[in-house]
Amino acid sequence: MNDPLTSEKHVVAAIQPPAWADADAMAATAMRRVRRRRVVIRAAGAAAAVLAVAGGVALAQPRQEPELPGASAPVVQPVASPDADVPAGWSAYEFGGLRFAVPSDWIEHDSIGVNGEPGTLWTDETITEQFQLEVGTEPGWAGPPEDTEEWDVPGAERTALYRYDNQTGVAANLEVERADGYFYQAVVAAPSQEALDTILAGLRRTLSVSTDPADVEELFGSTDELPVVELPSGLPGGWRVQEVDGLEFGIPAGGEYDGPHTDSGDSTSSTWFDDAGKREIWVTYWAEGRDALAVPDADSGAGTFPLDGADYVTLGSVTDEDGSRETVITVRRADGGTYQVRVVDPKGAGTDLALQVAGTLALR
Amino acid sequence: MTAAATAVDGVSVVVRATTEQEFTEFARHSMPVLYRIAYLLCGDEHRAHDLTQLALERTFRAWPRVRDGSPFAYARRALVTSRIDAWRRTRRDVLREPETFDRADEVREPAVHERDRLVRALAQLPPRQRRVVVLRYLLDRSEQETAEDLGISRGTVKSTASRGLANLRTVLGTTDEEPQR
Repeated sequence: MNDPLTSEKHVVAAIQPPAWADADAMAATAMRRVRRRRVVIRAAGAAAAVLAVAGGVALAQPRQEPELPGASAPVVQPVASPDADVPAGWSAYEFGGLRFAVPSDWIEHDSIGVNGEPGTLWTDETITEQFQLEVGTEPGWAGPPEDTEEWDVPGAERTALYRYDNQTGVAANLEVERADGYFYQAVVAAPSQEALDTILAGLRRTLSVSTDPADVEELFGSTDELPVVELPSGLPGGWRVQEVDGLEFGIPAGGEYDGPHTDSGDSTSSTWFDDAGKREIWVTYWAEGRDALAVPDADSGAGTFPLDGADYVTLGSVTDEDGSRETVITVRRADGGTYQVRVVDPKGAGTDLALQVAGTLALR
Repeated sequence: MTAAATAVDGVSVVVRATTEQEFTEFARHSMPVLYRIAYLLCGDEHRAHDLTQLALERTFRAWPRVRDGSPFAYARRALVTSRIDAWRRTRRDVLREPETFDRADEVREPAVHERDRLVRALAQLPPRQRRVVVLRYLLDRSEQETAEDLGISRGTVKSTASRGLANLRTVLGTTDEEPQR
């Protein structure tokens, strides 16, 4: 077999982390950041727990209107059993379009999304058996494909289960994929194989997925609740109009424009850099842009603006350590497909390039 | 993952590592390889460090699910797909322009020169081609493994790898024939 990059592989093998990169410190940082985030998420989720636990009548409670996008506390809704498959002594619930049942004496602790996703955690009284559920827009990692078993869950695109031993007993990862690109990821844990089998059997009998995207999308807030950003209108003088897969956008005079080109079978992109290499515009289109659906966190300062033909538009910025600002504009076509426009402005730029670009966007 | 045996009054006691110990041990073993991948993707040691840190964080978030499976595979996937996650980034990870690399390194030792020559060449590939070439050819991942790491189809890996390799050769100025793999 002819190896095309033999000499380059020797180069790769010699790449080592710099001396200042300390694995122990990086591990400690990772654990600290994740745990801090969990604390924040738990605190936010406590309101949902109160709603669900108070009298066990969350169904009768009016749904709390979220104050800010992404800040809404997901609510687990008890549901009437759709059929006789709920085991005796179990109760059925619905969370983000996923129906499931757990033993009636289990407790909902709070909403825990370890990656910021909405979620819910149910355990027995002693917290030795648990069902932890999260909802996300990215596929997870149920387990090695060769060791997973497929379940047939009504309404689901695909369901995979992976069993394994953990430190306190046995567990299983469950990943349920919706047809609209959302994923439910759950961890089921129990002290014994028999107990795990019982829980899994009950879940398998009761799991079902709604086909209405609104059921899951409501967990992620709505762009309707984002502040509307005022944009300059029209094409600034000297600008040119370019297009990537149906999205027209303006780029300033000069600079280097490259594209559009197909990155792979599922995305198209183009780039523009100004002559000084300071300002950048990146435009990417995904025919199936599932990861664009989550509404930004409330503290991100994100906004939205009207765009004909789009059913989802967000605009948000982050400032780099060097003072430059990166703005991400996400646009989903009402007829499918998602665009991401990333604009980088150097520190101290006199005009807001991102807003100028946003003002030129048009869907064909 | 880890168990330590100790003897107490002649009785062997197996003490399982704490989550902190497990994850730290995982980081020690995986960080150099994750950093290597990150460096190939971004061409800058500080950003490579940040990407590696991000991958470790995401892995720790998923630790209860991945600890007994393949946490390194999860971390690698988190790393090579982290650019997609625009909202959660704390700093931009846009590549340095190839022209901004320090040309003075051409007078440094050959290994450093070759490393930076490769990174400069990779930086000129579109992002997806770069990821596929790094995983497929420089890290010897199979087409299927590359597809799983990047969350794309095997066919996409095949076509992207072909174009990426051709582009990389053009940039590197090599003329090897495309391999039949």
